[in-house]
Amino acid sequence: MLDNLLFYTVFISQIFIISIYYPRQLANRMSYVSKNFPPADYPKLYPESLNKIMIKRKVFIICNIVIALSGLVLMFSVMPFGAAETVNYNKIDMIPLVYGMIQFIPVMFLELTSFKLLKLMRAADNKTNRSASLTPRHLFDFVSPMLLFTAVILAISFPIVEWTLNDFTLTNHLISQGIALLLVNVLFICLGTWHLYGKKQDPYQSPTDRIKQIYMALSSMLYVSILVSVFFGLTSIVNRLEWVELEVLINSLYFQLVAILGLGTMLRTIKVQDIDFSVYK
Amino acid sequence: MEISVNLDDPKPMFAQLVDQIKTAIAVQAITAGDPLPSIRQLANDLELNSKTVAKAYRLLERDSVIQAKGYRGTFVHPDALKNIETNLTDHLETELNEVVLKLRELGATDSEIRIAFTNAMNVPYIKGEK
Repeated sequence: MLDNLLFYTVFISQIFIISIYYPRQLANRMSYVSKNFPPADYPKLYPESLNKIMIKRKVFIICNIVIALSGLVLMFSVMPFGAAETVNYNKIDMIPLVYGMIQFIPVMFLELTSFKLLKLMRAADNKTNRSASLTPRHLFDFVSPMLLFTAVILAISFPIVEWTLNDFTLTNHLISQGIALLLVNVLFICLGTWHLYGKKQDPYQSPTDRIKQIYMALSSMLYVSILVSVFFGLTSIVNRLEWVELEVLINSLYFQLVAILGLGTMLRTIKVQDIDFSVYK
Repeated sequence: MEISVNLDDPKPMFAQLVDQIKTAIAVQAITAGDPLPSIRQLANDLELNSKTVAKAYRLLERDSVIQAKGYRGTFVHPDALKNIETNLTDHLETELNEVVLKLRELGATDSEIRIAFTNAMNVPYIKGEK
């Protein structure tokens, strides 16, 4: 009974945070911008018609609702009420992970839409004056050295500890986790470099907003890198102790934290009321 | 401090950059020892080719307005405020005009002067050697 309740609580929390709470925040931001900064006064903000953008917003909301409802159905089908003792946890431990990946699809759709809009903005930009700051941008202007050090140490130490606990044998599982960790961190390094030194995606963005965006991107990537290392470490411990029930919960909590540290950091750092929209007039 | 370049300006981009950085130093928006952005950062921010920015930095370094310190980056030269007055291009034109005038007075034709100039340019230059 307690296992049921714990599983329901954590999984409902996953459904709520990733498919309801943060999507609602994102959708509200889009509404706020369209109402307070309409195309008539801020034409540069709308490289395509407001109608098209609002349709995409509706698609985003509907997808999240469908995924949330599917999650509830899934939850009661894999763990019917009162049936915790008969559930095979080895078969359901991947469900929060797989479901979590599906939950992020609408967010990825929104990201792709945003990229497309920025590309259209750049194509429409016909200003002949270009400006830049003479202040160099360095990594440690945006993130704490301690945070970076922590991320690096965790990323390196997890595979080494795991290898040691495996009596210095390279198992397939360890190799695949090591590769996954490496790929994630290499991706973050490339994205971080792109954010710091790459071309401005939004041609009209003010220098202050750009600084905030770089800060947000680098911070959230570092937090997620730390989270990935901790997650691999925890699942390794849980596997060794054969706490399968706990693995289900850890998998669910992992995705929730990814959302909180990723989306949450973005929403907290870049408040729409603080963005300088005058550049889009 | 922000600098800007104008795509419609007939002046080459690298020359606009050189002028903008010299102006920034003249008005003391940046001072001796201040770091400057990397070539890649400035090129991406201004959406220019990195070779354009590299050329501007090279000319500024030649005139001792900035100093490149390898991996540590580029900095404003300690004597930048004094050296921003130096304009090698103007000096170059003045010297060449004098030489061309002298050669014409000696009776050399324009094509003879051009051939001699091309031959002189083809002689490899080793710094410090006379």
